[in-house]
Amino acid sequence: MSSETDPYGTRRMRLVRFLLVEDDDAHARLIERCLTENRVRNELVRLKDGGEAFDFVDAKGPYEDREVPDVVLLDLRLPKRDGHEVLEHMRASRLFRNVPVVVLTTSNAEVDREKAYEHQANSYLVKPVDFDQLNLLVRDLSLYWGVWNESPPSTP
Amino acid sequence: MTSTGPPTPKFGDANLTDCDREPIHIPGRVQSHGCLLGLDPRTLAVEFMSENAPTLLGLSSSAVMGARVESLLTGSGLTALTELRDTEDDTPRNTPRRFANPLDFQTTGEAVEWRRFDGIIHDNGTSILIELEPRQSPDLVVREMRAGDPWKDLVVRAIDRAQAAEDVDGICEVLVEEIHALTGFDRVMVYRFAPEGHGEVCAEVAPEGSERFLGLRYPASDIPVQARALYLRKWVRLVPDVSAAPSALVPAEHPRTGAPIDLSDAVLRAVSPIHIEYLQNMGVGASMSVSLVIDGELWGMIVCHHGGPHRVSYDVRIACETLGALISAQLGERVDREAAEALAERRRHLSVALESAAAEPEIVRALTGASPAIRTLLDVDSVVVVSGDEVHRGAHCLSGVNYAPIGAHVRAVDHGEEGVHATQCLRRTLEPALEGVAGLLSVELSPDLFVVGLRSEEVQAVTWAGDPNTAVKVAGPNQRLQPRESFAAWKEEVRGCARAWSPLDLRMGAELKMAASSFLVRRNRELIALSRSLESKSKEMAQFLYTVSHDLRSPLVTCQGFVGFLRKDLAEGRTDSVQEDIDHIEASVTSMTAVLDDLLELSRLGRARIEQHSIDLPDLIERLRPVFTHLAADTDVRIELEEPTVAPFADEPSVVRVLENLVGNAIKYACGHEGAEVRIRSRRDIGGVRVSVADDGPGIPTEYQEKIFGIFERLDRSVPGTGIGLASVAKVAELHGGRAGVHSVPGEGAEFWVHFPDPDPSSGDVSKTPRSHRP
Repeated sequence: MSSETDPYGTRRMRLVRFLLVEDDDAHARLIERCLTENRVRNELVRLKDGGEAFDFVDAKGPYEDREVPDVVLLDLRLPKRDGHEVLEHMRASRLFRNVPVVVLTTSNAEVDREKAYEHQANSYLVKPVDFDQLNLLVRDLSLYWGVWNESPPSTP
Repeated sequence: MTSTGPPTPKFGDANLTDCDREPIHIPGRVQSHGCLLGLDPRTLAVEFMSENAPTLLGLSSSAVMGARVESLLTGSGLTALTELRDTEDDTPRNTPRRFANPLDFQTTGEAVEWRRFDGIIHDNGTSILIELEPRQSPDLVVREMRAGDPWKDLVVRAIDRAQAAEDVDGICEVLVEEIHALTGFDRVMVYRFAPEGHGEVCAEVAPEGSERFLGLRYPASDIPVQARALYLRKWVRLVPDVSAAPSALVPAEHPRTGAPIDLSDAVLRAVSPIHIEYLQNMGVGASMSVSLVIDGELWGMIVCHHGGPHRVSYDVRIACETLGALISAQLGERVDREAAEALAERRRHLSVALESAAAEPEIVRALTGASPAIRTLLDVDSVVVVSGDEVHRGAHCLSGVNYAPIGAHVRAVDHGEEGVHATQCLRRTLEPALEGVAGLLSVELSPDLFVVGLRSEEVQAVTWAGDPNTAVKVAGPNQRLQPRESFAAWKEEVRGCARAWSPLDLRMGAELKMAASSFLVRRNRELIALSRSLESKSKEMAQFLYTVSHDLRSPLVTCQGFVGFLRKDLAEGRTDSVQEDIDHIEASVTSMTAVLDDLLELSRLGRARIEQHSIDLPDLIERLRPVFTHLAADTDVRIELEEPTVAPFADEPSVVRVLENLVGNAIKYACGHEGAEVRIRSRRDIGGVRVSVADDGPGIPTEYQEKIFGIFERLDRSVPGTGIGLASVAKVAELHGGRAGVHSVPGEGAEFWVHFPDPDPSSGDVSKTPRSHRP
């Protein structure tokens, strides 16, 4: 992508705050590298399991000073609490109620899709096995949700 | 039940019902070897008599008619009569009076010479009848009870011999021998009635060199219906001289009522002229018969014939009747016993048939598989099963025969309420006729399922005594009924039919249907239960596949992802990232391999055959020491077995797997602290033994305790492993019909346990119905 004719222009200067809830270290690394590869300015907070996610939402323990992210990337198969429970917990919380949540999972099962939308996920993405597709997906999702999408106003 | 037999021979122009209508109870005549006096019950005066009475009494006719009995006779019999008259009142009687016959009579007064008679008195409802039979006299030979042969001994001997007889025919042989010895008749036979009405001679004593009647069959009309009815009332009939002309009653009609005089219970009653002619044609000079009655029905008769006249005294006749009655009781018992034995034997085959059918889930195969037993059960030659439009061959079906017409036949025919249909002569009704098949017994299990037994044709040779087609005819100038003249053996061959179906055969058909019905219902329930179990297994499978597909896809994403980055890094010369890329790729492949290995292991577990026995735990732990040492490699974890232990009833390799997993888990997750200890326990629990592994690590938060047995479920991904361990443990528990679970208070360690149920004392092994691993 050439720097002279970048259609996104100054929008790219926006810093996108991601919350990545992903238990697989390798997958987390892939996503990070894809973001870097596609030159998305970002701040990424990584959580490894549902327990940490709950604590983050509740601003408990090490996450007392946490900030509400611009967008959440949520895996479904997590230890301790699974992604659906985390999503439910977020939608029940005052601060996280309106935060865009993008489910990013290996599962294409109908029941998972149904449940995710039931709990008001904003979008459901299936991790592609193909590298080029993975790359594009991370780029597109980060540009869409991070650059184009206007986050909800912060709740006082 | 519906049944059809072979066509019965036609009886010429005259038929059975003509004989049946003859009024043999009011013949108006008596046999002339004795005489009959009919008394007015109020006065005991003679109101009618047989014509020969004056002659036999040695008096003139006018001296007898109207005379009071005491002027004619004396003796104990007279006392019995006069007592009756003198004490009697005029109230109407409901039942005829009974007398203890025979009674002693002698003539009185004006008799030419002194005569003694056996008197038989009975009350026929209108009059008192005295029948007088002269006793011994110079010109009269009367067979009497032999002085040197006490009646009591005779009875005892006859009963003992009958008891010792092998079967019903044996008992009949005893009968004919004893009656022959007692009465002196030339020929004594037992004549047995068949269900169809004809009779057969089944035992015989006959003079040396004479014709034998044994095995001959006599048409039903030879002993017409009304005769059989009388034979049930009076059990002995004697015709001492077939050719003697009977003596008429005078007056012919009853003087007070004007009706014919009822001689039903008179021993001297003259027999039907047709019967006389019948006996004469047969060359018989004297005849006596004794009824054999079983359960109130005429089962057969003892028939005695003599070449010329032959008289036996009343006492002898009573002795024969008594012997007949006593032996009938034994006959009845033996007939019942033989029937019960035959029934029990058939039922044994029914059990065998049902047992063999139970093993096979598919119903048609079950029935054809059981067809050898069904073949014996129904006593048939071959068996087919008709299901819908198809006819399936069973035991002993002939090759080359097309049994399809059987299917059409049984579907079309009515099986009645009991669901059984039998025919003896299939070839007459079946189009096209089936080669070699003549008899059919069909059991309807359901409107489109039949079990059919087939019998092959049997040419039946029946030897009739004379041509049964001309047993009775209308002939002669007066066009009256005449019995056949020839009793020469007349052989009949019945073709196109099979052996007749016995009541037992038909009954077993009905029992087969009942047994099969309950069997079908049970089979249905089993199928429903099986279907439900399959449904739940199918759901389990779907869940499993979902889990697995995810857990294989995940490392693939990693693998492909880092392969892509590797290409990029190499293309753009970013060598410092290359190592990381390769490491991730390698790790993902290792991960996939591990997942596949574990899956294989789990599937093998699912298919594993387990052999359970009592496990010596201390011994097993000792043998596992090297494994534990390897698992605890870099740590100083202590692994101890707490004694005393209880031996679980389980499959040893399974217990090994459980211990390896649980101890391995404990070491991995719970032994990061100093002085960590893992304790293995085996304690008695309700209904079984609980084997557990306890650690003193951080414990498991309550909200995760249920989940962790799920396949590939991990609580801590920082520790290597695929998460299949606990799922295997749960599977082992399921295979043993037990349960698995964890007890943990966060901060105070965790105890993972498996419950192995005790063996079932009745079956010797544990029920293998899977149960949920959740406690």
